[in-house]
Amino acid sequence: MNFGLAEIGLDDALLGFVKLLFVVGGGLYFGFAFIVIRQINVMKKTLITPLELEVTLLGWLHLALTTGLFLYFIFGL
Amino acid sequence: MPEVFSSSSPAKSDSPTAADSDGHQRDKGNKKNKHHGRRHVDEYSEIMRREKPSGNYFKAFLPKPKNASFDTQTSDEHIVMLLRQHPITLWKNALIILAAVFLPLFSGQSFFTDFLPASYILGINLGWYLLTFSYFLAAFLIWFFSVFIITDERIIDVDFVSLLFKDVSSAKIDAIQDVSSKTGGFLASVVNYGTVYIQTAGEQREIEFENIPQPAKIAALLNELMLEEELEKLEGRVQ
Repeated sequence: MNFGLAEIGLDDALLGFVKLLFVVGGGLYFGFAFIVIRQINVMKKTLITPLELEVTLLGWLHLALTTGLFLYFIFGL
Repeated sequence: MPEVFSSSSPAKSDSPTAADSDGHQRDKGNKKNKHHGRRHVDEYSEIMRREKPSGNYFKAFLPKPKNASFDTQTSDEHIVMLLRQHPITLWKNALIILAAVFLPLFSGQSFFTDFLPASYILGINLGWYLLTFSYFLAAFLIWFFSVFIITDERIIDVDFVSLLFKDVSSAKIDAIQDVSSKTGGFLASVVNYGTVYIQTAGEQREIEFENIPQPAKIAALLNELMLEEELEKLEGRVQ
């Protein structure tokens, strides 16, 4: 019985595995970026300063970059 | 008689002290606090009288911070001092970030290029720099929000151990039993930072203000606040 494994080269299988690792890692990182946003909200409530907007923007920038990287891992590799 | 006692007599409390640029704000404070029988910190603290209100929130030493508050602050409680760890204590983080930024540049084409396509290498580099940005963000947030707050009623130690762990401890000024400060090491002596140890009678036996700028000044300020608390009790101004 042949499942088509012979047609798949070893390099492709290895690259597929590496890509899977990248996507899983990117997904976990994406989740972490959400936790950072939530934690920034906790921090902002703990100490209230006029710099709330700047700190919030940093968190959202981090999330946006993480999303971009996650999408790149899924569609760009 | 110590200067602190002489400057905190009730007769003097109504007369404005000239050596302060924040007279207007202090007057507002006086009006607000008269209702509660509590004086503004400038009236009894020689140290705070010399300090101008600060509006720069990136500093580690913020006397009378403008427009700042914290979650458990009561309506008649005023922040006297807001402190963070001295920025120089972040040198290890700065070094790690610098190393992380330059490592891929120095490693050149030798990393993973033998068996990975260009798109994967780009992904690794992007991921690496994003991790570096995350590290910077975490270090900044932990430094920025881990604060030591001195109000005219309490001391509060807000400690974010990491991005996910928060530890807050506080003690009333009248529960403080002993205050001491320590400065040690070359760097600490040069830029004047150190740790203030505060022994309290509360559940949290000791609160530490770690690596803060001007620890001796903070210890002296806490002593002034403790004296004022005792005076409040003696004069029956405590509600």
